[in-house]
Amino acid sequence: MAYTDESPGLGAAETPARLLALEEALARATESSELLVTALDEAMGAADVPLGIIGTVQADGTFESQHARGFEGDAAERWIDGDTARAVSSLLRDGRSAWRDGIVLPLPGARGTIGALVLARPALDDDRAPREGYLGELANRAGRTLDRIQLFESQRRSQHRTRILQQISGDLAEASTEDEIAHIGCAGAMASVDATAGAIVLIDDGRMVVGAVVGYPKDLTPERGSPIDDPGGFLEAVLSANEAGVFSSKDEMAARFPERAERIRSLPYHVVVFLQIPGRGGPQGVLNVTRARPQPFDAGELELLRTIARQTGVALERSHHLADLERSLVRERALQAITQGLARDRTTNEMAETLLESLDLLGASMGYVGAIEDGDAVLLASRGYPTASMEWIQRVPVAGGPLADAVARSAPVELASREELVARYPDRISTAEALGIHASVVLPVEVNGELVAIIAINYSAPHRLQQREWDLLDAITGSFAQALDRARADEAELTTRTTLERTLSRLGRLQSVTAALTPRLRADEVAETIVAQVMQSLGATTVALFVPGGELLTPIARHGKTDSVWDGADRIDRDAPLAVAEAFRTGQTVWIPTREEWRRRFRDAPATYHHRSGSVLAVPLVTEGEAVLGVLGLLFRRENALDRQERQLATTMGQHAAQALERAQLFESERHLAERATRMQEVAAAFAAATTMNEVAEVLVGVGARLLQARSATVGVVDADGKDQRVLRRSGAADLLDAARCIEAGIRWPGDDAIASRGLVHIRSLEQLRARYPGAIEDAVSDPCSWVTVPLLNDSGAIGFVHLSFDPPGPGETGSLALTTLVAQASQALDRARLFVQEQEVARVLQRSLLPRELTQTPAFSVSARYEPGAANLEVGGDWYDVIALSPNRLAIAIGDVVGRGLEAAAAMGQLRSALRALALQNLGPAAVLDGLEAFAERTPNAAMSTVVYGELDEDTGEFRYCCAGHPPPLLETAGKVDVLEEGRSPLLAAGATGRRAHASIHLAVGATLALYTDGLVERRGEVIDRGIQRLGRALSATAGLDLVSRTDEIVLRMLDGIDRDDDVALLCVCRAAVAADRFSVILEPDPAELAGLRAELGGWLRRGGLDETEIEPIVLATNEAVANAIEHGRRGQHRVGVEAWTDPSSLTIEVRDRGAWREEPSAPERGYGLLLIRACMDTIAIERSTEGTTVRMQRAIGAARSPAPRVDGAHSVP
Amino acid sequence: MAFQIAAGQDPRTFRLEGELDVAETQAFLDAVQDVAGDGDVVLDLEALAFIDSSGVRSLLVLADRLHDGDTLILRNARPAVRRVFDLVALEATRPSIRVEAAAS
Repeated sequence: MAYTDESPGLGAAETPARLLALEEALARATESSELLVTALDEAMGAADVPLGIIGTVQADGTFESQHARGFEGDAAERWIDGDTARAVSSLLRDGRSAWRDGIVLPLPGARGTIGALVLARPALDDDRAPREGYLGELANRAGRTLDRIQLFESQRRSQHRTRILQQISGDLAEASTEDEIAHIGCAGAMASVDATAGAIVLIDDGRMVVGAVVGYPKDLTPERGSPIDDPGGFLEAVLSANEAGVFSSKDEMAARFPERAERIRSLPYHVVVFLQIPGRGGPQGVLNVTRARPQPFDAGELELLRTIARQTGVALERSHHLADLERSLVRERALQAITQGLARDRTTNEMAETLLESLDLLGASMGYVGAIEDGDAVLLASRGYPTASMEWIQRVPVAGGPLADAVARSAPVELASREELVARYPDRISTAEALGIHASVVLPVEVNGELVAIIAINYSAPHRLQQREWDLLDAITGSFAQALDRARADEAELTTRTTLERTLSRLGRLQSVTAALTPRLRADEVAETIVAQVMQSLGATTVALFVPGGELLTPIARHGKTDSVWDGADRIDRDAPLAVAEAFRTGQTVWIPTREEWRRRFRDAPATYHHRSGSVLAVPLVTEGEAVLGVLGLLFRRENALDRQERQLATTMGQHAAQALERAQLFESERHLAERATRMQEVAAAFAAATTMNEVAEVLVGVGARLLQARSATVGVVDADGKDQRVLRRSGAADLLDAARCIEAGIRWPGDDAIASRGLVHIRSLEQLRARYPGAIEDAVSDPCSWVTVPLLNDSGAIGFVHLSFDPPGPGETGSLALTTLVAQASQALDRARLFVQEQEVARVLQRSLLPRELTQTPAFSVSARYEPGAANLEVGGDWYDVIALSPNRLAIAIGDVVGRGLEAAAAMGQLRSALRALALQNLGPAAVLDGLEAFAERTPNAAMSTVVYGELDEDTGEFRYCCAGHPPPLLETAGKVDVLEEGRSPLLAAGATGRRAHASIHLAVGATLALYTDGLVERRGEVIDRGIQRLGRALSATAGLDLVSRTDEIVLRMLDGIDRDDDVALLCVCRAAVAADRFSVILEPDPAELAGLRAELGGWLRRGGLDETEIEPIVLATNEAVANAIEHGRRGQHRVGVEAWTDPSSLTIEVRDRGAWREEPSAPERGYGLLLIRACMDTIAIERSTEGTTVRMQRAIGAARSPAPRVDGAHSVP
Repeated sequence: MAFQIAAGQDPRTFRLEGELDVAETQAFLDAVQDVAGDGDVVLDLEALAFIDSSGVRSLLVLADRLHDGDTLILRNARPAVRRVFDLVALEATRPSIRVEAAAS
């Protein structure tokens, strides 16, 4: 718009109407800006000017442009900026209206100028007055109206702010968390002053953190809670309230933050305010609001913001207070729980675990509690450590580093960040990095001024403990220390009690050992008791008691598990590098607590002494006279199994055991003397009772050797010329000097010299033996030993020897005396036995010769006999029997018993038998035969009172006629039924009886068996003879299925089973066979000479079976060939050949069995003649081969089935 | 009945008696060992009660000792022995053997 004269003017006449219109226009304005625009437009119109500005005057009198007209771009702004605005302000102050470029019309209010209208270059030349008047009036009226509107607006704004404040207060009151409060404060402040953006910074533990950010661009919106960058410490300054925080323009702000000026200017914010959020304990934060438009906050707005800041502060305080309350309540509870837990915990480990429950309260990620032991921290409990580090933290040396400093200063060491760590302990940073630790606190724990434990609390982020956390830590550590103190006290008490209990237990065990030992009188009992008691008392796995014998320690009692330490060594050399030997030598208890120690000390021990046990204890049995009687060896499974007191107990037990053993040994040596005397008598009695050489030898190696306490004993005999030695008996342990071996191998041995010199040979050591009798003992032998070899003599010289081995040094003086006595007795006994044996042997030979060597058999009667002499050491008895063929169809049998034994009896028996034979052959019949025998017996020495059964069998009738002279009755078994033949009885022979002897007769069915026997078979001590006869009857019946020979054997076996027999026994069985036996059966020796007999027997059998000669001849030939082959080819002639033949009504079968392979050898025709002949003679031939051998089975039709004529007469062929 | 062999009046004539089996063949061969090469040999078998395959084989051995053209004459064999000779086809096996019928 141009400023021209043609502009609508304002005439005086027009003024009232125009004023009225103005009044109306102004009255229509409801807001100050609307009013100001109206006034400006009207003024510019009235003054006809192109440029105008209207503004308000602030409380401080400065002009502030509100509206401008006629300027291009931002010219108006620049126009009233700076100098112009100040010029207008000063004009208004001075009450002047003239201005260099125009006029300034103040707008008057009730309390002075409240605004100004600035018109540029007005055309005031001619019509100045009415225009000025109008403009003045316009300004007045606009001023008044503005005043009114401003008042109204101020009221309205005030109401608005009150509402906002109320809203904010309400919201704040409801907000509980710091974040909510910050947000409400921030957003409320912004809303109340129509700000573009805002933020609240809070102070948290002395650090400034973001509380809320609203309306700022993203890059100016940090995370809530993140720390705030405080450029140049400005916020600090605001917080300490020593700097104003109100910036009304970018320039102002840029001036304050020169280093960030550029940035400030690039941002769209013109007006920035920072206000303290106050609190009772100091500022709690900063409230910031900004405005993008260049409208500074007026006083009211600032006041409002301050109010909001204050209210926010109150709300924050309240929330902090509440949070503190809550936190402290939680903490209190947790602390209480921990303290109670610590009070309850029994062990330091439990306590440490409980302590670490405080990690959560402290916000820590890892915790460690270690007990201080020998300058190391030993892990009690840990939390949060990576698995990989668990090994490492088990035991941590307290040397260097924060641990050592905390210990040295007896105060906590805090490292709030890695920077601090690097600064103080640069070498520990790698550990911290490995464990992910950013901050740590290390606290020593002391009890009664003594360092007992160390605590480490670690954080996975930088962290500095706050006072309340320190307080918490102090409280917990204090409780922990208390608990530790208590635990130590408990442990001390427990230790005291345990010690007491152990002492009592040891006393108790010692008492029980002593009590158990007191009633033991014999050394072996004492030894057993010691070993058992010690094992039980000390919990050993193996216990053995060794006693000295010569150069050796020998275990006499032993309990528990087997371990090689005493397996390989029955005896231990006194000088052996071994705990047991060492204890024996020194008389001191030897304790080998570990395997390592054992290896170190007994490096040179033989391999057999090595053991698997953890620890070894050797306790000498030391008497009050300081004699070492033996050593207790104990093995324990664990290493360090016994403590010092237990070992002391063991030593004491050893002393008690020594007393008991000493007492027992004294007692035993007395008893021993008494026993020896008794045993000597026993030996004498035993020798007296011994009748055979073996019995004498038995006595000598048995009771004799025991009496002499020999390790082993060997007794032998020598023949008349002293050359042939023979061992009869030996006993005891294996003798290193094996007499039998030397005699067998012809090696010179002490016995040779003893016999030759008729004197005792004493070899005192192995070396001596080797020197004098090289080869008598094997090289490998190293066992110490001594030997005594004594000849057994009669008047004519040596008849035997006794060879004894002893533990070194050999028989003592008393032993030698006993030996002499013993040898004298043994010599006598042996000499007597020799004579007896010689006599007995003669009798035995005689008796054997007097009994029939082979029994007569007939086709009709099978006969079998069995004679058993009495027990080996008994004299020959008088039992006899005989079988006599009287005629081709009559058989006589007899059995008898001559009174007495030995040579005389045997002689009498022989005479009776001969007499009977002669009498029987006279065919006088049984009664007459016995009459004759009676007469003979009367005239024969030792034949009186003999018993006999004599009977005659008729082959054709099966009749048995018999007499029984004082002899047990014969038995007859027929088809399983047994009869006792009580008839035909008469008195003993030559017993003074008169009159004819009774005789009886009974019929034997085919298959019936007659049993004649002597009393030895049926008599038992303390039993009537009838019982024995019944028993024999049962045996006879039960064995009916067997062939006669087996049956006889079986009966004798059954009758004598389990009997301590002293009489001799004879049994004679006769069985009546079917006259034509239906089966031919022979077993042949593998000798071609057997063939002729076979042919004869087989021919006879076939003939009896009714075959005619033309049939017999080829059958015999074929059998001959088969058997000849079997004999020739049976495995090297070793095996017998069986031939069986049987018939059925139409055919004959022959089987030839051998254990060889059938040979046909058909290569040369003549070699195959055997088979050719068989095939020609028999109808069929089958050869069966098995692992058992070969069976040739041949068959031929016989009798009527073979017609018209045997093939043997027919054509022949060569295979 | 044991086997026996006796020289006849003619030194090349033998009389056999008893049973000739494997047990006796060696005795038989020993007795006739010197006869080879001096013409025919005559065995009088009248008293021979039995002969088996090994006896037959010993006859073959004897026959084989004879010089070519000489003959082993088996005379007076009993039926049982004769049957064995027939069964093994003795004459067919050795042309130098001639079995003569019993004199009686």
